Amino acid sequence: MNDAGRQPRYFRTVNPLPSPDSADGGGKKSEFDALYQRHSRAVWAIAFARWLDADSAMDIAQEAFLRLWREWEAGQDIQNPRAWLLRVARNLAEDYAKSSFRRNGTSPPEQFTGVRSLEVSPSEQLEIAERNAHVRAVLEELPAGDRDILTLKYALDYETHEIAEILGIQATAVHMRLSRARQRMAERLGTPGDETIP
Amino acid sequence: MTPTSPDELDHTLSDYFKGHLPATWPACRATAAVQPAAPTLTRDGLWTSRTALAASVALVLGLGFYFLNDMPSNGTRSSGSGSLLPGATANGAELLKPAAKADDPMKNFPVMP
Repeated sequence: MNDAGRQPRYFRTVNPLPSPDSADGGGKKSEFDALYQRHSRAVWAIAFARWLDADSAMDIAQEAFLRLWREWEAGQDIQNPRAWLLRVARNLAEDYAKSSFRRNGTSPPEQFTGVRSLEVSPSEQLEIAERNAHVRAVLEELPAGDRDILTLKYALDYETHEIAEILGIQATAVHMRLSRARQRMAERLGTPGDETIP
Repeated sequence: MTPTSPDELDHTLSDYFKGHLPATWPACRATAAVQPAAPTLTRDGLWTSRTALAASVALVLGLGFYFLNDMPSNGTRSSGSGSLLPGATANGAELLKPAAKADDPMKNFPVMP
């Protein structure tokens, strides 16, 4: 079983948004903030799954929402904001990789494996860093689509049908790819194997 | 430490991904600097302001007409003699004596033949 419930699930209580055309300036901002609360974590997850870097993922997510806000301000009618945001986040993640690599070259995995925590001892920190480096190395070998699914499931505790809706694929495809990804992770991390999906 | 069971794998993956999830989710930067729009006038508010403006203009015009009619006209101010001061006898004739004729400054000069 995973740790469902450890993190608050932010998206479940927000009602669907009304049309942006029906609102004035202040209402438009509140609508947009509601949209941000509803979809920003999924957008972050897609960006994080691409490069496994939380800060860059947040920058990409914020940039995607900034571009959506500009579209709204320009009067553009975007029928499906979530799909639009996810597509822009994917494109931004690709652009980020090009620009980052052009500036800095590739970085060793150890640079990105730290977990923010001030309450663990140095030895525990070292152990966590080693484990994260190992997990990251295995994750990097997976297809990007499988990392999308793993991030949505384990970072945000999304159910299979929710992941399918976000990614625009069938739930059975999510189930199959999740099973395959977990199997591969188990093999590479030393687990005997896992054929059952919770 | 490597996971040895499916549950441990789930824990490992969950710890990894949730460890990277921001502890406090930041506000949207796109709308952080946007101020709420100024309240717009409703139809009732617009009607009220126009009514107040019309009433103010009518009051100013009414007061103007009132004070204009209340002031004495030119005909009532004069006493009929054309003088501003009724009963006055001075006409100012003695104040303005004709100037003395000046002597010709050239009369003592010899005339050249």
